[in-house]
Amino acid sequence: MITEKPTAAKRIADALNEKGTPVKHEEHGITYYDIVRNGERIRVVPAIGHLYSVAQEGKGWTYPIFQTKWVPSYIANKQSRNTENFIRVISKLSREAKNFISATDFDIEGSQIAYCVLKYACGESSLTRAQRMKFSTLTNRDIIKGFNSLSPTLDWELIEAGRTRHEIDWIYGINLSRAMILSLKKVSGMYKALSTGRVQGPTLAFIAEREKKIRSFVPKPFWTINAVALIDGKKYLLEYSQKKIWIKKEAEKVINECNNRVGAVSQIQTRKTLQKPPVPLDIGTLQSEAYTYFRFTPSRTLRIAEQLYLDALISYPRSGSQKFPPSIDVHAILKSLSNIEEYSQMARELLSKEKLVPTQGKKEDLAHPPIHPTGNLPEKKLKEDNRKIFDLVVRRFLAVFGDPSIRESLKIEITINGHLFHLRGSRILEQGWQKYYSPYIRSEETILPQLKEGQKIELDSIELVDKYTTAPPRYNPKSVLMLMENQHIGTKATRAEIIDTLYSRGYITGERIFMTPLGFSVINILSKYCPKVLSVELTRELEQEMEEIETNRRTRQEVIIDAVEKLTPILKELKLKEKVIGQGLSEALASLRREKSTIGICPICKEGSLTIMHSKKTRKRFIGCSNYWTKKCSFSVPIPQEGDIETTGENCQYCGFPMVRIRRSRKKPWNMCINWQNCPGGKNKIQRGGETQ
Amino acid sequence: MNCIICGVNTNEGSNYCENHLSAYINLKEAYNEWKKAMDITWQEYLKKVIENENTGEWVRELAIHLLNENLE
Repeated sequence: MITEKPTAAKRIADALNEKGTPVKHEEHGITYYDIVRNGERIRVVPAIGHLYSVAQEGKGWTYPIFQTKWVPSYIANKQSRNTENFIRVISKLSREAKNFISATDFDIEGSQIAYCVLKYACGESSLTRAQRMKFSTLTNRDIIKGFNSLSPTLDWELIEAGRTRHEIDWIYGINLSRAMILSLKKVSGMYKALSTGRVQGPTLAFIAEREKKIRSFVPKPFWTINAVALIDGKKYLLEYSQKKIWIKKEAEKVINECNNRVGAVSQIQTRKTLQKPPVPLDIGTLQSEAYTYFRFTPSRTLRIAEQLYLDALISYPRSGSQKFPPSIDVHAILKSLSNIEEYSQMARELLSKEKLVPTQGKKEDLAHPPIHPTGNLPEKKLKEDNRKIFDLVVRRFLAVFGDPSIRESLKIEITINGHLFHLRGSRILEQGWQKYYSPYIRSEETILPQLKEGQKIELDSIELVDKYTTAPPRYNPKSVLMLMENQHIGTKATRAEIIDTLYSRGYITGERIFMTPLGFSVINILSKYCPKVLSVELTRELEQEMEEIETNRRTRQEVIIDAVEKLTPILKELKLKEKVIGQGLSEALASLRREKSTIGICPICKEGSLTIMHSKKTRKRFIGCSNYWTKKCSFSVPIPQEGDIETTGENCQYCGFPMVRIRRSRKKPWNMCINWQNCPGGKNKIQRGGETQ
Repeated sequence: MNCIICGVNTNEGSNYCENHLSAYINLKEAYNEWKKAMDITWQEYLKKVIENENTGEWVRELAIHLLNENLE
């Protein structure tokens, strides 16, 4: 039995073993288990995600390349060295196996992982002797249920779709990226890891389009009326009926006509609104909520959710469903949650309801239910990040079974010399589902005084406020993820990773996303010389075709041939224009390097700019003033020799010198005052993790 | 030709690159709306646009150039 991860192997072995505890073995650092179920001996062996990857068939670092092969991941990628022992152990153990069970996660990736392990590590003949176990949570109940209803064959549609996706993405990614890298190398002799791909390109194009709108935005003036009423000694802000006044004279006229006048209540309207409970959590919604409330990036949320899934605390997280199937034992989950003090009262309250009917969203995923707690309780104290996501999942689960909340809105119309103002208030009458989900709701109550129609209202003040329109907001990781989802590009499993790649390539930066010169350059070049690569239609078409493999309407061969036919003319065009493309990329990289090495204005001479320089003698780096070369300023300071250094854009609160951020691989970034040798801030001059001490 | 603001290659016959040209078009169009909204001269308008924190980077660079060179 092959599982996707070592933790899953242990959980599955524990759940299925009928006598005592599973017998644990260890070989080359890989732990596997022998269990007995229905009198049969089963050996449960883990993979560690993908053990095989797509690689180039044949040699040569060139393009176009359309011939692919599957190779062990440790050969394709040095960072996957740990996969070697897994392959070795699985391969050896498979020789003793009579039959095989694929017990990886039930999705395209899981099916693909098991398929490759069987085909390449266990031998082609294992494929016809393999069964598929399907489950959505790693609880004992679901594992046993999955085992008792094994599919007699592997899930070939998912496997074919998975293979195709990997191969097409590889073909697009490698060819387009090589086209850019080689263009740059030919022109400048410089190597830089550049990439684009089937999904990466259109995503970056969306971000670039927004950036252009922001950078060429011209604000337009408008005016608002700020009126404050004095009622029973308390001040209340009145809203003018016209929220934005576009002509200044008109706004001034309102002020003149209302100033020193007394108004009167002309109408009071109350309205009760029913707010339905939220829909169940699919992965996109979980990532979006986690970003809103915890500022977790989508990839971080996915990582945490996967840990919680492996701990059997929540269901499979890469679910696209917002509809609970009747097979979920809601009562059992609630009963179990009632053992956690924090949720106890809420769970009991729901259990006392006559009928538990969840809200249902629009999205459907037949393979998995929405993300929900399994009912298993944490065995130890959860890490803070994990606790937050667990809490979000639990509370959302409780909320979808809650009653609607009822809000009363009050709108009071006040007329002042013929001008209409509003006073708005609202309060919750029935909390309903909101009491379960309260930490994740932003709602304010405004209680208004008791007023009667005709009642006089005195103005405390009235003034004109100058305002300007604002540019469209910058994207953030959450809004990019939602955009990709709405545009149907990428999959729920890959979107977060693609956003991370855009950051790691240096195309975008910051939590409020800014395009870098390199990102712009890549987009400008691609849109000028091969706009098809950025076309969302092309990506969407391919996505559609790949989905058709899952439903048996297209074959893998057909889709790959079609993809190659679409890519070939694009690559021909890129080849023809290598020189101009390389030139553009080279200029962008030079500008990026200049920008990155500039720290700020020299605090000593106030003229030169501080840049990262290298000593000719020792080759060590330091920060120095650009006026050093003209002998006008000799300011220089030593800096750490390891890690990336960039300006934080802020000055030290103690001495006013610029602050820099140091990023080292696998370490938390930290901020440092460049005047650290003399900064009066003492211990506080270094602020670890970017947080002020 | 090169853009007189950023030095990037421009389309033939244009003083501005694609980005600064789009900023110029926006700046000219927005002036009509500013004039409708209030009494304002071109120079005053440019000053206000430069000072405004919501102004896009390319527009600001262009407005500074137009103001310094006394250009329309």
